Amino acid sequence: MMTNLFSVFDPTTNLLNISFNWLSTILGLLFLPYYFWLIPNRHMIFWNLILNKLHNEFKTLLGKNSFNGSTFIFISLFSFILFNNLLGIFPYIFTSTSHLNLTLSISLPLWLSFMFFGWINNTQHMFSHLIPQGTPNILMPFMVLIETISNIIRPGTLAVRLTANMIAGHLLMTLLGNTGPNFPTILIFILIFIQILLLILESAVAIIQSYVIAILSTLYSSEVN
Amino acid sequence: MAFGDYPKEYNPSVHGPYDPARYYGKPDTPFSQVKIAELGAWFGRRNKSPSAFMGACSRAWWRWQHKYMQPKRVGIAPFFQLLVGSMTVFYVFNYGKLKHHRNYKYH
Repeated sequence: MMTNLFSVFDPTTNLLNISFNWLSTILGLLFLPYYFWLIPNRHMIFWNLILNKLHNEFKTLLGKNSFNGSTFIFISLFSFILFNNLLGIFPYIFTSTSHLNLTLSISLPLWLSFMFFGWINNTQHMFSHLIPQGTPNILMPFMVLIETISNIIRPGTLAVRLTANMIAGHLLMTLLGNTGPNFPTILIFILIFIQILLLILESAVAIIQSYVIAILSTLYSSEVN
Repeated sequence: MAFGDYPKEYNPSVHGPYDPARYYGKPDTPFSQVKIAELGAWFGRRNKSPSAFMGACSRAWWRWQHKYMQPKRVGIAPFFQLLVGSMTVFYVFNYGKLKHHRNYKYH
């Protein structure tokens, strides 16, 4: 039994009363493959393959109007979230992406800067997005309201989607893991089997969610120019 | 020596291409060959400044990189070495909370 189900999400540590758990945010830097030799090794080949695929994907989504190299923002975003999500699955390592603190500080400035860029440089274009093509005249005021709301909640949905997914997975694994002591010993293999399945699911979720946040930010940025 | 510079002792014409895992200063007796009686003097000769300590950590990191991460036909072993290390570090960070988990069965 747990005293507190949410203790896995507690960033505080007892060392000097500093929240050292947040250090796991930059832990991914140690895992990134470095270029040292001219000829790439297997890690580099694999990593470059992923980055190239993402670059091509984001380039088509951003369209012709985009600035050269703007895919790098979203590729970096993807790798940052990916390393945080994946490392967070391993025991004792803190998952910083399960906190709105981190996810909202990524998504809000990103969305806000896109919006300011659009309002300043493509004002007409930004307003035209508030009414989808072919809207009947009578529905136009409501469509503006709906589109405005759906635009304003975007940074929130980006952040909450990721955070909720990470929290849900960790909670499930914690809950299941804590039934162990009260479980008949002979049936413990069932529990372990379910945990392994859950762990595979969570690994998939970690990758998918980092991809989703990167692709949605790409789409939001492609709308402003 | 400013931040990001090569070590003072490094000379490209003598040492060849820079290796971040190598110590370019005057070599001392390797630690494994130090006699017990000489241990105090050996430690006395060490440079204990923060930048020297960071330099030693950086060389150790690159020695590890060369041995496990950088080989051409590398596998997943280095990732698991890093993972075990990270899990240990975070276990130590959180030990103050984790030690109470052994009392859960009494709740």
